[in-house]
Amino acid sequence: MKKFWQWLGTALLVAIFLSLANWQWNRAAELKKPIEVDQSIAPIDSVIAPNDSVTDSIIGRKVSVAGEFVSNWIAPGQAENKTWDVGLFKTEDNAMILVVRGFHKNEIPQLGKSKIVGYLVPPQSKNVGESKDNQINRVDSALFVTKTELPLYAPFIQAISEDPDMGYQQVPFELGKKVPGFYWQHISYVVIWFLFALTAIYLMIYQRRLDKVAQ
Amino acid sequence: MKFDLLSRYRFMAIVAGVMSLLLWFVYMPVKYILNNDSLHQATIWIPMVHGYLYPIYVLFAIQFSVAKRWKTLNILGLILAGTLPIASIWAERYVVRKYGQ
Repeated sequence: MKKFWQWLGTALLVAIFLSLANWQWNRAAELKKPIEVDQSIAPIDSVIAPNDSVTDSIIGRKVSVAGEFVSNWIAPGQAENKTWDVGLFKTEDNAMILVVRGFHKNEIPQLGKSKIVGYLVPPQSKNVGESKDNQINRVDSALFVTKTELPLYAPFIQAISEDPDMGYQQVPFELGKKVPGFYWQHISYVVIWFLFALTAIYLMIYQRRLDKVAQ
Repeated sequence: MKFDLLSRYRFMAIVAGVMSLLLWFVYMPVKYILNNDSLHQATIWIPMVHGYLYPIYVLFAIQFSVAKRWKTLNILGLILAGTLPIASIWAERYVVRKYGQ
C-alpha cells in the first residue's frame, strides 16, 4: 500500500511540474508570435467611445476623426528625449481627444478644422518633467478632465496624417515593444520544471532504495 | 585545488545565494516597485542567469546529498534552499560545519 501512495504522490508531482513546464513553454511561444492588429482605417467612434477604458484590442488600430484643434501643447522628454506637439482635438460629435501631431516645430501650431488619421495609443502613465504653461508632463487625457466639460477619449491618437497637412514630421509608432530576454527567461523555467519532474521521480526511487536497505 | 563533491556543492550554493539576492532585492523591486522600463531592461539578465544556474545548483545538491545518504526530506530542503536568498548560504554553512573542509 505504501508503494502505491509513493507512486501516486510522485505521479501527481510530476504531472504538476510538467504542466508548469508546458505553461512556461506556451508563454515563451506567445512572445515569438507577431502582434497582429487590423490596419484598416476605421472611424474612431466605431472602435471606442469617449470615457471607455483602453483594451488591448484597440491599441495600434488606425482610426480617422474629423473635428478641430482647440488648443496646442508640448510634451517634452518623450522617447530619445524628443519633444512632441500635442493638440487637444474636439471631434464633430463633441468629444475631446489628444492628438500627437508630430515632433515639436519652432512655430506656433495652427488650430482649426482638421481631419486626422492615426494610431490609437494608450495614455501615458509616467510623468516626465512638470506641467506648466502650455507644457504637459505626459500624454494623457486625464490631465484635461478639469479643463473641459466634454467627454474625453482615454487613448490618444498618434497622427499619421492631418488634412490640411501642417508639415509635421510624424512620430514613428511602435506596436507592443517587448522587453528582450523574456523568451529565454521562460525557457529557463521550462528547464527548471522539467528538472523538478525528473528529481521527483529520482527521489522516489532513491527513497525506495533507502527503505530496502533499512529492511 | 580539488573540486570534489563538497566543493562543487559549496560553489553552486554561494552562486545560487548571490543570484537569489540579486533576484529578490534588485530585479523584483525594479520590476514591481520602480516600474522603470529602462532599468527593467538593464536587469532582465538577473532572472535569466538565475534560471539557468539554479538547475546546476539542484544537480550538485542532489549529487552531494545522495552521496552522503541524506533522507529524502532533507534533500528536498537542500534543493528548495536555492530558491531563497539567504537559505542556500545558510545551508552551505551547515554542510561545511557537518562535513568540514
